[in-house]
Amino acid sequence: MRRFPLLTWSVLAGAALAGCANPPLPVAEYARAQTLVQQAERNQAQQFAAVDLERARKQLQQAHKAMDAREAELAERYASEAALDAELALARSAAAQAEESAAELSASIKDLRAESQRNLSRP
Amino acid sequence: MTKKLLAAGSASLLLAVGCATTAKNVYELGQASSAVARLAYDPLASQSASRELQKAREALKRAEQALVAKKSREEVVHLATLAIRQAEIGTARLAEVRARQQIADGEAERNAVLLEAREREARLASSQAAASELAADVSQQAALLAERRAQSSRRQLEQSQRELAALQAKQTKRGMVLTLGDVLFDTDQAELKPGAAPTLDRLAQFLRDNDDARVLIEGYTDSRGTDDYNNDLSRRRAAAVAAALETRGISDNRVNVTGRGETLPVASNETPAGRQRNRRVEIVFSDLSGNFVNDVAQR
Repeated sequence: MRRFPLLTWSVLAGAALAGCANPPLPVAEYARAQTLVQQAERNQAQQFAAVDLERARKQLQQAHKAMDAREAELAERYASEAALDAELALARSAAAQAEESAAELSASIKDLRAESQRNLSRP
Repeated sequence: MTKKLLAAGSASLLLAVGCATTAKNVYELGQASSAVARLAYDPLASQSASRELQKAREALKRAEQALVAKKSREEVVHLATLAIRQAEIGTARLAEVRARQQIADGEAERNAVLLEAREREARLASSQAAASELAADVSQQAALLAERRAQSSRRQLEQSQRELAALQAKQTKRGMVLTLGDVLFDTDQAELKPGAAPTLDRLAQFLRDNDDARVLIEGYTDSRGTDDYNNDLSRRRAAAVAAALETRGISDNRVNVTGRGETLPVASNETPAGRQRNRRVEIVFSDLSGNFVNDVAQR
């Protein structure tokens, strides 16, 4: 009975030091995530990767809240997830746009072939 | 007592973890693991998304290490989520690369189709040009040929006209007519005198030069003597001319012979000079195609 309170306090103290102490806020990570979200918006992610962009925005918002609350670790998590979500939105947006172009091109080739065929069969 | 101790221990453990609970089965970790594996299995990944694959693997490793190190559940879930996103980014890159390859292939294909169409048009145009050139050539040659034919028939006509003029043939309503006078025959005889030979030679030459021309040979007499005698004499004189032509190589199917006796006098039978003019043989020419004016051959 005497040893437990001692252990409890020491663990609590360790936890306080390790987890709940306040390391510096992840200002650079937050800024990077913000930039990536803006970049995704500029690259038409709203149109081509709406779900991913929305998630990136929410994570960025959470990161902002955590920054306000001076929750450095939490802010770092949200910011890094927001950054990757924005990168994913960018990548999916680029892929979708390329796929759209490929489909348009394929359709135009089909038209071209059909036209060429018509010209060929014309007397 | 023991229960109290245990309860206190559990409580203190819970407290000790504080702002975190230790993770054991983290669903997101499994997700991350299969997302990374999926990306790694894509044959295009090592070439076109190697950086993304590497990052995804590192993120997965960090998440697994966090689990082993008994980091908080939130931390493990967070790291696993980063690994999932990283793998998804890689997958999206591969989709983009494939689409871009498709675009490149499509552009090459479109260029090939366009080129083919242009070449076909060029071939068509050149064959059309060749065809119209040929047509122009043909019509030019046809025109030339027609011109030559016209020239040659003009020449032939002129030649025949010259020959007929030399024969002293006259243009009449019945066509060109050559009159062989009485002096070329003995009186009451059907034999031609030698003096007729030059005229007959020229006549035969004319008929040789103009393959299709035909002649109608008509004998006439004056009004003395019986009709039967006159008809017979006129017929025999015409036949003598035809025979003379035949000896000069003119086929008898180009020559019609008829005796007209004392009909159709050209002068008065009251005077010796008029009667002499009426005793004659007329040679009527067809045109160069063998047709007589007013179909006199049938008369």
